[in-house]
Amino acid sequence: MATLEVQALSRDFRVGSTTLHVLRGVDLSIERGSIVGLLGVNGAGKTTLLKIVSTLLLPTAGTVRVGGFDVVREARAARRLLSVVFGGERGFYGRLSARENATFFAVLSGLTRREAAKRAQESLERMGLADAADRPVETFSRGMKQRLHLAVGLVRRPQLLMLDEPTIGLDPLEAQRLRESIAELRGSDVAVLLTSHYLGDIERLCSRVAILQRGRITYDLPPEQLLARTGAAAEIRLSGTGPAPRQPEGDRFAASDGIRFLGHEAFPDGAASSWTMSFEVKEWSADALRALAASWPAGEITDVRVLPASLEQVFAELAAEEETP
Amino acid sequence: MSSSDPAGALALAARLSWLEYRAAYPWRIYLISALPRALLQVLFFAYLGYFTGGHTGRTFAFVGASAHVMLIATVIKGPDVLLDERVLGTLYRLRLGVLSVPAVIAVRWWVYAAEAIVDAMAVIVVVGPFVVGLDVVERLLLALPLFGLVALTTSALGLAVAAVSMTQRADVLVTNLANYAALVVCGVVAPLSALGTVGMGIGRAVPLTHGLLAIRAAIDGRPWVGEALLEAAVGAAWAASAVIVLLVQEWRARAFGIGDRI
Amino acid sequence: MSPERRWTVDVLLSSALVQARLMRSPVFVVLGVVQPAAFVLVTILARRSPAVDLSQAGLGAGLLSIWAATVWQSGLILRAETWEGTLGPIVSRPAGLAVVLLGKSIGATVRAAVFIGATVAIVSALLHHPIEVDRPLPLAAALAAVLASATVLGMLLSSLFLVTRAANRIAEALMYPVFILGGLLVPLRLLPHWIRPLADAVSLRWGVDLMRAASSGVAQPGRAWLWLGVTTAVYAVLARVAFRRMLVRARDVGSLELF
Repeated sequence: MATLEVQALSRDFRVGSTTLHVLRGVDLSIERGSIVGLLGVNGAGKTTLLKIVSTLLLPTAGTVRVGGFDVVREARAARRLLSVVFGGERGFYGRLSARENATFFAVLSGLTRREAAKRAQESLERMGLADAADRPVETFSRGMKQRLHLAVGLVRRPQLLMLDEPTIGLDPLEAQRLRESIAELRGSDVAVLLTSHYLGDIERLCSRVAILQRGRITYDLPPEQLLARTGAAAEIRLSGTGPAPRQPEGDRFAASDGIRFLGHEAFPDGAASSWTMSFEVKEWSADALRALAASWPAGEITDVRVLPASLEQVFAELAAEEETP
Repeated sequence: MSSSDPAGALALAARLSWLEYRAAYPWRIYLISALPRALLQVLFFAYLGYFTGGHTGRTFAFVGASAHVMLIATVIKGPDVLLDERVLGTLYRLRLGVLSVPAVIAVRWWVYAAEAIVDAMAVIVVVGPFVVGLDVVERLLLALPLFGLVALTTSALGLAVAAVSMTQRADVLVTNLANYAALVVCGVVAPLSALGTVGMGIGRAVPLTHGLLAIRAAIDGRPWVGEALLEAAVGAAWAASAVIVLLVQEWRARAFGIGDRI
Repeated sequence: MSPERRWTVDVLLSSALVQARLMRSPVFVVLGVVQPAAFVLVTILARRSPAVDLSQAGLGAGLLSIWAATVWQSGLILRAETWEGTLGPIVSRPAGLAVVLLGKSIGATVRAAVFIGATVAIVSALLHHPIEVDRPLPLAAALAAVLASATVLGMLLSSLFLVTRAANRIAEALMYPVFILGGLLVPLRLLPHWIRPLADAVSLRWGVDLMRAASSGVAQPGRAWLWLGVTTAVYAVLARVAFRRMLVRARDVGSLELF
């Protein structure tokens, strides 16, 4: 049995006389030990989905089960198994200390007061907040608040952990530390559902990526399979000085080379003229490298950039699709 | 409107104050909550006066409470005119502007002084006939200009309270403290003579006290001008204090970068 | 006690303590100290004849302030949770919002009562009209019943205030009707005959009868105990209805942002 099972989930909202169909039959399941990323443009319904799974919102149709418990009819039992971290500037009693907040929410999560105090201390230490534990939360920086959200969310080990943009507001070191903490859950008994606009987080952490488009999950694949959708392994950009080289002819590359010329741009400026040229590499191979080298123009090449295919490209393509009626 | 048109700028500030007030307190909200609260507050104090002093106490308390009720607008709500600048982070814009901050704030305060007078009138007209009779109601309405004076002097108190609260996060405490202190020391329900020497001395330094004495004198047919002038002087002193506090805060903000804690 | 029960007690206690900690801010000084002191002072200083019995002015002023605290502290608990963004984190946890709200209401009421009680006792004593305690146990029982009723009222108001945007405005308008109809400071016999039946629906009106009786050494009327219980039970039913409606608005209609 999957830790999280979502079947035919729909959620509508009435806004005045209009009905907004935010989710239209979402299916998703997450097994323990896996980390699934949920992507979608703003307004796609990611937060609505998280709210329903965390029992804050009721679905219009469909079922959601956490550890086998229906989040509508068995909400209390489901809540014992899940933990959701929404992050942001709010979500704490600002006048109280980090320790007081963490202990209180730990008690609400099912721990006795004594256990809650102990686990809160451990969780704060894990998130690097031990020194600030007794300061009022309102004095915390944004990054510290985000870490406190995570400390509170991880004070006990849930079966399902949902993280909504967990690295937002964190500096690079803090973000890396957090990614390491999340990565440790891979293969454990915790199932993780993660949303993030930092696609690097998704690429690095997730064993699967689910894309929410127009209220439905349109793709639910491992990242490498999703990346293959771009049809390319990388883009290569050459920059050079001097007069613009001739663009390679259409049939310059054999199909077996796996190279496609994308285009070039010239910036004439007398002696300071420069140009750029881009190629797409479908798949890395010795033939591809030879074909590339052979096609590069003579003259001074000042920069070579290799841009591996990224989720950003996939996301940009999907977002463009979504904008097309 | 050019930058050398301070009158025009102040007029605009006054108009915007009205628009802001209407957005925060639409008529419906005023009629279903603020007005009933004012009416019932005065009714309660009138009954308290009846309990402690019979018919004499009731009339005394009603007159006092119908003036004291103006502090809801001028001392509890009015300070938002200044305190919102702190909350919204717009104070620096006022300080960089061509008009002085005290002038802008004072002009924007007019809506609360007006609400105060409306509250007093409503209380006199609606509650008065049942509590003190039409004769007293008529005499109170004739004394409305004195209520207008008290609306201005208690606005000065509100401004001073707001100015002091600007650098601390205790505005709710300070405004309510001022309101309740006035209830006790200004001769609203308990006569000034009951306060003792020290209490009376404190009371005479607070706006509302002399104004109430003037109102009571006016409805009794006694001379009231002296008390009215004293009320005006006390109000002016509080207004001057408020202006000084605001100017000192502005100077400290520029000189030391402090004083704008939110 | 079973582990589940023990944990529920922990939730109640933690919620009460957190709420009491949150109440260490200037606004609570107004409700706990400034207002009760002002009412005691004004009442005692306004007396014009020795025939007026002020022995229970402190008691009445204290109960007035308990009501004001119920409206402005307990009544705004859930609103404050939405402002802080903590309502969602509470709802999404197994403890349940109802238990947490009960704990917080208890914490708010008890803390307010301690401060208000101390203030009115001290100010009354300083003005040579100390609160009489002829029968301490019945007085304590009546006080506990009044605080229990205030807690339930607080929960009712808290749920109601969450479903309306005009919570502060309604709170403003609610104070003085109960000040008058409760007979807390001004005896009900001074009100017009036609309005007195309305007072019977106010639980504090029965509570003050019980406390006055205990304070002055007379037997507490059984009728007052009965009606205190009935009115509080009605408030509890209304609180449950309001609470459920509030949760439906939040989770079903989705019109209430839980965070």
